[in-house]
Amino acid sequence: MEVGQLQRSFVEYMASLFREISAFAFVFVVILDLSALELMYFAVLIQKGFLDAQFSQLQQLQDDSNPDFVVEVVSLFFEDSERLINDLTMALDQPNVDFKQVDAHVHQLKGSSSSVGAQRVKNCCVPFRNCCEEQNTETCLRCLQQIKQEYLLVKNKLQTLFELEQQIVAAGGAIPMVQ
Amino acid sequence: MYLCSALIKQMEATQQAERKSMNKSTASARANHDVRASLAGISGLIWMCRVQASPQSELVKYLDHMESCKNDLLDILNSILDENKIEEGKKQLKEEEFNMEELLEHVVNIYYPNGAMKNVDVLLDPCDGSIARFSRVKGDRIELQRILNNLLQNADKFTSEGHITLRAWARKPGFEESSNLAPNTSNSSIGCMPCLRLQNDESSAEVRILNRVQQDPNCVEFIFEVDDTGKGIPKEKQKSVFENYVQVNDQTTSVHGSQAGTGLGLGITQSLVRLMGGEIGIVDKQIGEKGTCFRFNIFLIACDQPQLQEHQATSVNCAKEEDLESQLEGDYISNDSYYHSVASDNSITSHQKSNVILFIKEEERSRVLRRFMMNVLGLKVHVVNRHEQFPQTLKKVKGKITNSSSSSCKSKEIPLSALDGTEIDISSFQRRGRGLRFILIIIDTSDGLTREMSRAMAELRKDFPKNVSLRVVWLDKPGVDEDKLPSTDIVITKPLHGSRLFRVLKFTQDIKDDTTSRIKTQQHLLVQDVPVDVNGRSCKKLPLTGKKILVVEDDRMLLMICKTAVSRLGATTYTCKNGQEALDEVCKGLSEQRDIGPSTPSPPFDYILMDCEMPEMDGFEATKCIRKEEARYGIRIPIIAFTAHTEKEEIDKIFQAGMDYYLPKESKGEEILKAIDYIEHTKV
Repeated sequence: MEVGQLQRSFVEYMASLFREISAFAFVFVVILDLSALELMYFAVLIQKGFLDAQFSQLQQLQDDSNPDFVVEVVSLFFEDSERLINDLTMALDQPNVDFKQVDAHVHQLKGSSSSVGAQRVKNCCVPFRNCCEEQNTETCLRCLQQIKQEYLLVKNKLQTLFELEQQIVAAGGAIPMVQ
Repeated sequence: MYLCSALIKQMEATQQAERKSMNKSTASARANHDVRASLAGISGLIWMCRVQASPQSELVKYLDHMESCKNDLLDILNSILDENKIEEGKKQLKEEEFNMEELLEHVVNIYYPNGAMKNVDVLLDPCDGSIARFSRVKGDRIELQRILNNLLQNADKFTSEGHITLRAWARKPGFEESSNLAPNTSNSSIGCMPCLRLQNDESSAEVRILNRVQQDPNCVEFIFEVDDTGKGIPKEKQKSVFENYVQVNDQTTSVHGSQAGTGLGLGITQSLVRLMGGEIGIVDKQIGEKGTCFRFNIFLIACDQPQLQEHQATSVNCAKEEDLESQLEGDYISNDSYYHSVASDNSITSHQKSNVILFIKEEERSRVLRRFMMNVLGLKVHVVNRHEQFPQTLKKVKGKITNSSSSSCKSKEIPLSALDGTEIDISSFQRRGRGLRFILIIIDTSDGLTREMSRAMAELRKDFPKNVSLRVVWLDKPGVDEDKLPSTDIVITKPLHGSRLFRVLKFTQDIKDDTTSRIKTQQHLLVQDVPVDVNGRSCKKLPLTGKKILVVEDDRMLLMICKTAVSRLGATTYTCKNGQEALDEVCKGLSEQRDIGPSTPSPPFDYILMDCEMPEMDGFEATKCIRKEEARYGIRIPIIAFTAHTEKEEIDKIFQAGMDYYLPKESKGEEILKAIDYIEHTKV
């Protein structure tokens, strides 16, 4: 349903309520709003640990002169992460695993996931590095598996978030800024 | 039989009348409710618009105005209920603190757009500036606003050309007020207009109220006049105007199709004025002057402490009192009257008066401003009435000051601490013995700027004597491209009265010495408060404006983030992918400087943000090389390291390589600023 329509019909409804009850609760308008849905989704992502404060900081860097900043950064993150995960898979597939190399890759992945605010991915990197130090291929593989899972999850979430934003912009609304 | 039927008919008629009366009250209660609901709807819609509007836009100002109009409607609604209360003598006046200047300006501005549409100027006359002295008062703001609203509304309805002036002045009540307490004084005069006849028919209740407010030592009498050039009220109808429900002119054919005055308001107005201890009447005008002038007085209690007004509907931004630079329109800073400081200022320099050139379209406003500036502020005013006179006047004034300044050599401009508006270092003033002179030009460009005028302005600006400051105020639109205007000019939207006039006059005291302000911005480089330029527009002086920063980072994503973060802070950002590139950039920059040949080469970058781990040449290597190169030129560019490690060895490495500070890799705006701030302070 078109955002404006939603808002208008809600206002009328509330006004009619007011005539009957003389009560006034305009705060509720927000919840039926599409942009509020996005806010709520984002809040859930933060709460569940998929995203952290770094992501909010990225959002703050976005403005009218730079409207696609977050999407661009996240796209770079997707590209880099997928490349790194591939490299890791290949490196751990070797008969003689070069753990230094593996460690370097994980280090990089940790850095980029941290910058973009993909908290759960970042958290997987720490035990991974311990496994590298211990030079244990099996545990490393398990860590890699986990990283793949977390990465796919956060990728999915972020893509949903962007889709919501696109819908809002298409419906003519404004994307709410989270402070 | 006949009588019976007549009686029955009569009873029926009575019953019907009673039913009608009851239905009327229910209907009005219903209407009241419905109107409130619609107002609530409007309120919500305004809220939603605000959510979608960008914060600094004109749209938000309009929304604020809409909001205050909606609040006014609500007040009117309440007043309809209050009507009966007043008539029954049950009305109680509230006592709250409010700002008189703001109230007056708010009320006048409500009618200004309406008037502007039909070419009627609605202006606020500051008279002798006394309102500024007693601007903080205690009383019933809503009722006073209702009184003023009513009078202005009537003036607006009945005036189709000319002007509507709201005058206000204040004074401490003197002995002549005791005559108000005596009943049946037929000829008591308020102020110096002897032709005002009052009708005092006080009830005992009103006398009591008078006594209470007037006995307070802080009691101040406020006198208001609403003067218009409209239809006027014939002498014989003047008394009956104050009786409720009397329409003055049944055959009004108003230009905009609005109905004739309902006359309802004046009765209420009179009751309210009396409740506030005063009286209202119609002032006779001079022969040949058309229109009506209502005058009334009330008594309020003046407050001394300047407290911030939070519940003023028109307050857009309650600025802190020190934060003058970011003052938006509509604010009054301290309780100290600006007018006083300017007046005293000018009395010191009276032998070399500052000149004001006034070119305002509206005649009456021009007159009012001229009178105020000359009599109250002691400025010398030249009024330009027609386009053709403008260039001559400019030449004349420039000639005058050039002559006088050439005879007075070595007078340096005294940079007053303009940021603290009311703080004038009078002693240093006297020491230097030289007055602060300025030329203030107020130009109304609503009819456009002719070529002669532009040329005359350019002429004036050329070779302008250095010891006199020139301030140009453009009303509505600047004559030329706003970007081409010197920063000492300001653009103000009409109407020029109240807070806008205040700003213009304060403008004349602002001698922003360029160097002192530059030093200030350097010291407060990273203060988050946004300083506003002279125009009052928040020009968002970002903390790193004008700085050149080089970001060296191999990871694309991190590079993008860092670059955006730094650019957001206002800096010009350059990027490199690794240490080698960075070294090349720095070397190139340094040698270019030398070729240009300044005696002390300035660094090609103000800061370098360097990632530690990079292919080809890492951060440490690059820094070492850069330092070597710099040494040849005697320069040192601060380098901030971006590192993912925080172990001690890493930190040591960083400082050993010659870097000045370090930050974790994810750092964005704030941390970068902090780092730069730290470096600045350790340097200085």
